[in-house]
Amino acid sequence: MIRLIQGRDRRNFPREIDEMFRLRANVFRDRLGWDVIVKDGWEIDRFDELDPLYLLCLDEREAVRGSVRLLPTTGPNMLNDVFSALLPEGNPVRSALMWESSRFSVDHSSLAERTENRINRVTGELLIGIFDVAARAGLEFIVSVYDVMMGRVLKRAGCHAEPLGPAVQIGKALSYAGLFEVGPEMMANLRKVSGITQDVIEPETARTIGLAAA
Amino acid sequence: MFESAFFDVVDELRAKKRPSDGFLKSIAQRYGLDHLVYFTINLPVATEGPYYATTYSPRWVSHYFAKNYASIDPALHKTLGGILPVDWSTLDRKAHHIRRFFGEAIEFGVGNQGLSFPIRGLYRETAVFSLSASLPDAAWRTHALHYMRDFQIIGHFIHNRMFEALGVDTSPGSPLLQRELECLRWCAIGKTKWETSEILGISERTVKFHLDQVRHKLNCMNVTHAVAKALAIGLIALE
Repeated sequence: MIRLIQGRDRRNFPREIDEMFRLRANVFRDRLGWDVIVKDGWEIDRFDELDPLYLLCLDEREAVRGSVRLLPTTGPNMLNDVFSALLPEGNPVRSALMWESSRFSVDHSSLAERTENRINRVTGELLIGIFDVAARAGLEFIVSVYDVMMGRVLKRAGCHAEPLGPAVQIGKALSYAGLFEVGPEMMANLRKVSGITQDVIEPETARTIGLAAA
Repeated sequence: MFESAFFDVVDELRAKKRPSDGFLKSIAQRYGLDHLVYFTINLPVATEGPYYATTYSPRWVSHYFAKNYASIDPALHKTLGGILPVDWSTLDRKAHHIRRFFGEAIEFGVGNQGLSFPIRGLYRETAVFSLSASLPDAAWRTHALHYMRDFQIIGHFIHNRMFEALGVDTSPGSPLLQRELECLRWCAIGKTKWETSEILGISERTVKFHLDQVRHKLNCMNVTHAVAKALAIGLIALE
């Protein structure tokens, strides 16, 4: 189940937010060896100050098993402000119809999960959550920076990416800026591959933050 | 209905620079809406207080300020705190003062349904753009979905126009790329996205993306508007 938390409502969800920033430290510093700053156990950066939208994947005990962060591309975001080397001629990409997805994280035990599907449950819920929210907000594109490993996961997930620019070595991994089209085709692919047929977004939080019914 | 409304608005926009209350009114009429309101805070230039443009009656505006409704208006607060459009029908109206607020809004002709869009800009500024209508719930649900995409664009468009009028540089800071110009040229002579993708040997998705980038860079409402603007300013030529 995906719980949606808007940046400014963070204080209403202290337990979930704490677990999310710890998970990010675990994923990006410990597992992937990225050059991220971790303070008091939290991996948190300047983009978290911009009131982004967080999608948190909770298990049946409501523990945070995965998370992702969404930001509009019309304002500051990671791809344009940090990773512009991944874009053609370094030119920023912006549109009112496009959000950026960043800090996609899945906890270790979910990765090890045995499943009949090509992707684990948490990855599936997060991806479906992103494209469901984006469609309900009237968007057409999601853009994201991902490395080779995540690229393989996306491919397995049926989450088709168009590379926007050259692949560049960032830290230890070869990375890309990818474009994803929001729409029924993407949703059908994700649902088929993940085997998830029901709604993933928790109805309670969808209503609380004012997200229109699908 | 939505298609033609969109094109009418494009015509309107060519003529005017700063979006006025009257301009908002014409968009509202074309979309069959009761009202539109644009409101921005933390501008990157020194101005007196927040800036807004609205089609609301002056009576509602002064009532809203007199009652200090900005401090309780749940649509405003939810929108400013996030990146998601807020459908007013989902807002919690259990509290007596919130029910009274929405009741009065209807009495003053705001409408019983609405959507509020947050706008994020390059200067970390925030703006809110709202539309409202008088519709029963079932009809509203169908309409709201259609409004969503068009008004994401219209909101940003108005925001950029407003900033230009205030002397803020809103240019995207990047020229049109070769690929973007190529897509625009094929579009200008009537090629579909699919045809263009075949000609250029790229995916249809990428063509759609390039054209959306052109639309955004030229601060246009849609690709047709972008073609017209590119021809007018000599970015592309027909021959």
